[in-house]
Amino acid sequence: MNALDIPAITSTVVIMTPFLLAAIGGAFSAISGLLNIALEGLMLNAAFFAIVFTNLTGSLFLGILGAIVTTLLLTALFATVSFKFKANIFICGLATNFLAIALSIVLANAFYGVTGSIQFPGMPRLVPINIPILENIPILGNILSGHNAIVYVSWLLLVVAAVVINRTPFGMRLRAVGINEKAATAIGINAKRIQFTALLISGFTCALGGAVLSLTLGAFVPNVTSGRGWIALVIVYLGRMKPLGILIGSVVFGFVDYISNNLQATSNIPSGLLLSLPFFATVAALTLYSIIEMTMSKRGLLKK
Amino acid sequence: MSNTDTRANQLRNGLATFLGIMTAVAASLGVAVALIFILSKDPSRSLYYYFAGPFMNKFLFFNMIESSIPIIFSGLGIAVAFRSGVTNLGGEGQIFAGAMVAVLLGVWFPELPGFLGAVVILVGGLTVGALIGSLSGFLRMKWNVSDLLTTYLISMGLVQVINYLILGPFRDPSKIRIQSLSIPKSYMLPRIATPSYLHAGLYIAIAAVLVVHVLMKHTHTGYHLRVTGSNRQFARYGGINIKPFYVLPLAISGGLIGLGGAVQIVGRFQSGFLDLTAGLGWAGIGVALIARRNPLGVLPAALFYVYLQSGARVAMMNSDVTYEIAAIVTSVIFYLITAEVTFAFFRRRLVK
Repeated sequence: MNALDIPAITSTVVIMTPFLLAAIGGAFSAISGLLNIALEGLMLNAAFFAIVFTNLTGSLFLGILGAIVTTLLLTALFATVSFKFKANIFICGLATNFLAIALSIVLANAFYGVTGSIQFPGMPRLVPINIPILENIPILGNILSGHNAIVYVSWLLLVVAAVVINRTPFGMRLRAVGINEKAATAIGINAKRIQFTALLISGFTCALGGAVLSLTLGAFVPNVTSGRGWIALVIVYLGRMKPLGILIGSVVFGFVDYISNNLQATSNIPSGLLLSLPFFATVAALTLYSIIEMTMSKRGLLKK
Repeated sequence: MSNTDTRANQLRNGLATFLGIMTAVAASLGVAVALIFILSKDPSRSLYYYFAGPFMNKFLFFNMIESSIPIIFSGLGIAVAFRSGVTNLGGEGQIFAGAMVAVLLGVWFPELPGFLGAVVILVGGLTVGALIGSLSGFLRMKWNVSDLLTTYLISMGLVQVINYLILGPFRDPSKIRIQSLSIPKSYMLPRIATPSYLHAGLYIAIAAVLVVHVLMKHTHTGYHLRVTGSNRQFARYGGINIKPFYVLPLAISGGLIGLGGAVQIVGRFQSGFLDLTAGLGWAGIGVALIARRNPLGVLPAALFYVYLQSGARVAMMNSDVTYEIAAIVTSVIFYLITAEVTFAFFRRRLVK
C-alpha cells in the first residue's frame, strides 16, 4: 500500500474536517483561558440534530441550520451554568458530554421509537463538489477539489478565525482575557462575556463538525464522534492555539485516522487494535511535544 | 472570635454544604419528574416505578445495592485523585483493564484453591489499574504532560484493545452472546442476598472506603497528598518533595478503579463482555463530587447515584420511559453539584 496515493490525500482532507472544525472552536475557548472539554458532546449533539432536521425538512441546509441552533442552545446552557451559577467549567463540560449522549438516545426513542442508529431512506446527504479548473491540477486538485460544502466552509472558517483572533478588537480582548482575566477586567473588558462568546463560537464550529460526520454518513450512529472532540482538544494544545498549528495538527491526526481506517481494510492487523491507534498516537504526540518543549526551555535557561 | 463560635460556624458551614448538595439532588429529581411528564403516556405509573421501583421487593433492592459496588470503587478512586490535585478521566479504561486482567488470570491459573484464586485476581486488577494510573502520573511528573488528557486518551485506547481481546483471542466460542472465556466458578465471591446478585464484593468495597479514609485522614502520606492537592507550591515550600505526588495519587486512584473492575468479574459476571464498563468510570466522577471528595461520603453518594439509575431501569421494564432518562437526570447533578451559587446562598444565611 502506498500511503501517499491520491485517495489517501482526498480521504485525509475529508477525515480531518471534524478535527479542524472542533479545534478552531476549541482554540477560541482556549485563547480566552477556558479548557472546553465539551467539544465531544457538542459535536455529538450536532451530529444527531443534523439528521433529525434534515429528515424533517428534506433540506441539508435547514438540517445543518437546525444542528447549529440546537448546539448553540446546548452551549448556552453549559456556559450559563458555569458562569451564572459559578459551577466548575470542567465538570459542566463533562455534564454537557453526558447530556448530549443521553438526549440523543431519549429523543431518538421519543421521536422514532428506536435506540441505536438512525437512518432514513432517501434522505439527502452531503456530496462532493468539484471546483472547475482547480480539479484538473494534479495532486493539488485532489487536495483542493472534490469535497463536500462543509469542508470548504471549514477552510474559510480557519482563515476567518486567524483574522478575528489576530486583527480585530474582539480578538485582542479574547487574548487579553486569556492572558490575565483580572487585568483585562480592570481595564474595562467584560471577561465573562468574552468567554461566553468564545464558548458559543466553539458551539458553532462543533455544530458544523458534528453535522459533517453524520451527513456524509447519511445516518446518526451512537458514539459517531468517537473521541474526536478530545483529540481536537489536544490539537488545540499542540498547535499552540495558532490557526496554522491547528491546521497542521488536524492534517496529522486526520492522516493517523486515515491510516487506521485503511489498514483495517487492507491488512491483517485486527481492527480493534487499529482503533486504539489514534488514541495512543495522540498520547505519544503530547509526550513528545512536552519533552521537546521542556528541553528547549532548559536550553533557553542555560543561555541566560 | 471565641473557640465555640468557630466550632458553631464550622457546623453551619457543613450544613450549608449539605444543603447545597441537596439542592443539586432536588433539582435532578425535579428534572426526572418533568421528563417523565413530558415523555410518558402514563406519567403516574412511570413516576411510581421510577421512585418506588427499587424498594418494591428485596430482589430489586439488593440488586440496586449490588450496582453501587463498582461505583463505590470508581467514586473512591476519583475522590482520591481530586483530593490530591490530579485528574483521572480514565475510569472507563481502568475498570475494563481490571476486569480483563481478572479474566486472564482466572483463565491462565484455573487450578488454584478458590479463595487464593479470588485474591490473585483482585490483586491483579488492583495492580494493573495502578500501573495505568501511574503511567499518566509519570508523564506528568517527568515532562508535565496533562494528566487530564492522558488519563482519558490512554483509557480510550485500552477500551479498544480490550474489546479486541474479547472479540478475538479470548472470546468464548461456545457462547452465542459475545463474551470472553470464563473464570472458574470456585473463584467467584459468595452471593450474600440470594436471589439477588448482591455479592461479598460489597464488603471489599466498604473495606476500601475505610482504608482510604484512614489513609487520607490519619497517615503521613495522606496528609502529604491532601497538602499537595490543595496547594502544590505551598507543599513544596513546606518541605514536601512534591514530584512523587503526581504518580502516587494516580496509582492509588487507578488501583482502586482497577480493583473495582476485578470485583465485577469475581463478584458478578465471571466473564468479560464488550459493554462491561457502561459509564461506571464516569459515574465515579459524579459520586466523588456529590461526596465532596470525602472517602466516607462516597458510600451514600454511590447509593444515591444508583438509586436514580435503578429507578429508571425498573420504570423502563414496567412503563414506557427509556433507561437513558437516568443519564439526563445525572447530567443535571453534574451541572449543579459544583455550582458555587447554591452553596454561597446557604452559607450567607447560616454562617455568621
